[in-house]
Amino acid sequence: MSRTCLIAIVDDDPLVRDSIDSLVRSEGLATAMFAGGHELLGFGRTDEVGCVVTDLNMPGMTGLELQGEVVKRGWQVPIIFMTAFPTPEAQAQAMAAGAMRFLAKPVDPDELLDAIAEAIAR
Amino acid sequence: MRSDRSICLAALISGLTVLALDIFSPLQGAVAVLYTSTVLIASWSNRRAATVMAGIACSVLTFIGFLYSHWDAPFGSPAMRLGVSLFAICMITMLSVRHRSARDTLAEQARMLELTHDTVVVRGPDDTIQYWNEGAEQLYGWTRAEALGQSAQQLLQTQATGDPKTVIDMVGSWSGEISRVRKDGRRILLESRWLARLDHLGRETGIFETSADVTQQRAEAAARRQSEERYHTIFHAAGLPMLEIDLSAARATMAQAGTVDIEVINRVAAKATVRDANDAAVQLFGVAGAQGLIGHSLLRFHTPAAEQSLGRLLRALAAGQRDIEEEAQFLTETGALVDVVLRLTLLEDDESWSRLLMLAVNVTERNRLHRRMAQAQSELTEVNRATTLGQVAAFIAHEINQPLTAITAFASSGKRWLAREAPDAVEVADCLNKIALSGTRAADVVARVRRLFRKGESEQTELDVQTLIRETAGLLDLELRESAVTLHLSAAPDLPRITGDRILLQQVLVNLILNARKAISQAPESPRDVWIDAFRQGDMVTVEVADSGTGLLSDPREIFEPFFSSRDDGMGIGLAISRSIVEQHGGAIQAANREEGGARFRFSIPAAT
Repeated sequence: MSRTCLIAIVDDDPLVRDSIDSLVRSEGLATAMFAGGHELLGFGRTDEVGCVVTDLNMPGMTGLELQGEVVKRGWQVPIIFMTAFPTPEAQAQAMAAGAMRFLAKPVDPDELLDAIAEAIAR
Repeated sequence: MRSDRSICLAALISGLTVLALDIFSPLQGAVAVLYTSTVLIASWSNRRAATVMAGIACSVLTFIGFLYSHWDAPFGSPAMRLGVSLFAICMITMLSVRHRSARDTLAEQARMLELTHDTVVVRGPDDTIQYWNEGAEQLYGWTRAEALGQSAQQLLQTQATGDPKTVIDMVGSWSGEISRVRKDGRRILLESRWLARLDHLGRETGIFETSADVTQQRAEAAARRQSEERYHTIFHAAGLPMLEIDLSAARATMAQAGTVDIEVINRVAAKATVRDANDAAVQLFGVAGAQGLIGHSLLRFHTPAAEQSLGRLLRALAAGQRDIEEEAQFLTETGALVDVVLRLTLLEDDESWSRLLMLAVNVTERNRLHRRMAQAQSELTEVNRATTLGQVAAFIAHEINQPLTAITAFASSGKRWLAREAPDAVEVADCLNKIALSGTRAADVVARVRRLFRKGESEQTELDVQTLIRETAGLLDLELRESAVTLHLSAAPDLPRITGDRILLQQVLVNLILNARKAISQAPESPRDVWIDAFRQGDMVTVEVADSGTGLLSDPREIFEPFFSSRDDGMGIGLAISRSIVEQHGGAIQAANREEGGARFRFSIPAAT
């Protein structure tokens, strides 16, 4: 990991957020945790973020709305979705807007780490 | 008596006087002829025996007088005179006796005229009233004294159809209907017979008439006719199918047979003929015209369901009911099946069942709608259930998947922290802590879901088990009737009430009854009965649903497990839901096979305290 690369983790559930954080850090990656989309968008070091892992259903701003905002701002960052209630519609919408992966909770940790590795390799 | 005695005395005096004249008077001749006056006097007594006795006595006296005066020379002219006298006495006696009996007959007839309830009036040639009996007094209101001598026309204001006078002049008698006015001013209708009275020369001397009051009779007949016409109009103008049925022959057949089984029903039906049918009935049965029904039986329209209905109708009629309602199904001439509600009414006091009015209301459309509604309802219930289940599933999925995600991620990262060249014990401990925390959270979710379902929409009220069973049976009436399943309801008396959720317990009953119906339909050869019984067992009220179907093919304990089903189309969840509802009510449910075949489900709910 030569260059500084942050993995942004967005989830309103602290337990889930912490668990993903621990998982990613155990792989030797740096993380930044956010309780919602607004928090991420207000983050000062967005240029350091190499990948966003976000929950789909969150209060205030959903994962899809966050994705829309990211695209609108021209921020080229791969997004990985996680959701406890995956619907084909939400998946289609996310993939169409350029999402990197759409994962159903409970998430397979290896699959998530593979996806993150793929994302930051770009 | 007094007059009898004086008549006797007068006859005696008259007899002795004639005897004295005969013996002592110088008169030569048939003095004895004068005895005839004695006989006549005796005949006034109105006694036949007295007259005859007087005749015999006078003959004896004549003979004594003859012997006394003519003992010396009995032959010749005195003997002739004796003969004449005896002949005269004999003749007078006979005439008197005959006159007597003629007078008796007349008196008898006059008394009869008085006694008759019919009115007897005699009018003279000038139309004056000459005779007026008691019947006339009662009918017209005038007493005999008031009526006699009056002009009949002025008094009675007779109005007749036609001209009775001309008819009487021609043929001597007339009969017909007349109207007259009574003393109270009311005009009445009479049936009258008039007879001309003729003298010995054949001249008319007046009219003898008898009459009877038919006012009420005519009014009743007119009312009856009017009522019949009105019935006829309603019958034919009604938009509802109506038939008039003659069951008199059928009744005899039934009385002979004694019982009412299928074979008897068919024989009876063959003899039940249609007397009349209106247009709506013609349309209902799909025949070309009323002639397609009148004179025939309805047997050719029968279906097995119609036979059952007819059996019930006949039993009700035999039991003395006069108004009966039954649902039946007929196959029309055009091959369509129609559902009808039959209403049978015995017309008049007809003990022979010769005229029954049958109203056949076509409820095919209503039943079809009912069925469609029931189907829609069950589809809706299904959708509701699916929606609710979907929502619950989504809730559970989300709430459980969150801690599950955390657990798997923590477990995976914990492994990684350990696998590092320098294992990080602090991170591993954190992972394990959080795993435990997530497990607790998942358990909380399960507890929350349980709580949600325990409270939910459940509404606890005191319930009467019998009412609950009856209402549920009512909901399924049509479905059961369509599968020709007979439901037998019974319950122990004085069942205590239970506390529970009416809708949920109804759901249990519906599940069990529909299961029973399914089991029956899978055993086409078996009888089609479902029995529901309710009884008390200690502090519990037990409801039993038994059927004559296939019985349970698997372990009776297994069938209450979710997603277990022996039926191809079964949701497999009905019995599981039933069990959870019953257990939620503090009760238990169990199933067993009946020795007679079929299955038996029992569930118990605690009695209300």
